[in-house]
Amino acid sequence: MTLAITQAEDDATDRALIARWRTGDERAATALVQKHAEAVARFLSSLGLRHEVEEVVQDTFVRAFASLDRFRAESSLRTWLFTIARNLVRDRARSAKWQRRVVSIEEDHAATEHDALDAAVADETQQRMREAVERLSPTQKHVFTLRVGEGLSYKEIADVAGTTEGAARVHYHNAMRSIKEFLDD
Amino acid sequence: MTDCPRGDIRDVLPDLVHGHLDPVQRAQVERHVAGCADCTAEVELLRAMRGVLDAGAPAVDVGKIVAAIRSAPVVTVVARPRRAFALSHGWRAAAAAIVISVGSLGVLFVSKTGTPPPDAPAGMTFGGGVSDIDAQDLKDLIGDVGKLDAVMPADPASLGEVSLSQGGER
Repeated sequence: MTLAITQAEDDATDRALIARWRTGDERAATALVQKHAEAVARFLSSLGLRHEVEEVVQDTFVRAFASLDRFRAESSLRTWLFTIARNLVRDRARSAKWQRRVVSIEEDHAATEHDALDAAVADETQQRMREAVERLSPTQKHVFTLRVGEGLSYKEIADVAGTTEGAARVHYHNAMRSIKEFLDD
Repeated sequence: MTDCPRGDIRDVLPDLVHGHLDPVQRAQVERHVAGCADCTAEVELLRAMRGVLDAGAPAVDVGKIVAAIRSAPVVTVVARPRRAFALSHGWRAAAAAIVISVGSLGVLFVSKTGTPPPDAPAGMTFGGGVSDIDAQDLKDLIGDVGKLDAVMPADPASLGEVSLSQGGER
């Protein structure tokens, strides 16, 4: 039997943990980080970050917990965390230092992919899938990761990516078509 | 791999994979998928893709993140009404003292010279308003103005305490 955890139940769990954190239960912080940190890391990775992922994940949670009183649960906690992470990346992108680092990331990006492909010899199908995702446009890859990797709704994707639900839906279906075509070749 | 013509079903297949559908909708979608080869293939692809995306996630150190949260400075806003009042009162007292002093000097100047300023409204008369202050009083007042501290202290609240004790309002 498959346990179906609905979005509402997931959100309720987050709200309960936040309430515990507000009353001083520090274990609730650990539980929340355990629950969402990897997703935030995947999200940042889908934005093109590599070496800075861990640093930005940490900054995202520090900023989120510092302003947890402002979280009104109008969106899911995970969506809110993604929005904070995206804003952090945007803020950092404005600094010259960060831009230099982004350039260096892009320069060694191809080599990293190549190394990953070489190393992941265990499953050729997975390699093909990974390559299919890497071939998507940045926006398609971002939307596809949020939809398939994180299970966000189109509305949540629109909130995080700063676009519309309709545009998010179009990007997702275009991404799926591109992936299918690549895998069928 | 072809697309199922049911776009509404394909639209929610990622939600099915993540278990985000309510029981009624889930049953409807699963019933369709069970009889649709295209959707069955797409669900398998989505599950595999999810695994690929999960496997590509960078490692994170949960303990390090929690430690950073705990060590982050906590900005706490504490209501301090009495101090807030004293601060406001202190600034107001200083401003009032300056206004009164400058105003007094202006009146004395007019009294002494009897000459209205150039931009005074027509018909306004000057002179003779203050006759009981002589030159020595004026000199003393000017000397007192020199004693006023025009620069606010580092802690404005201390000014409030002084003005309260001098003014005897409490």
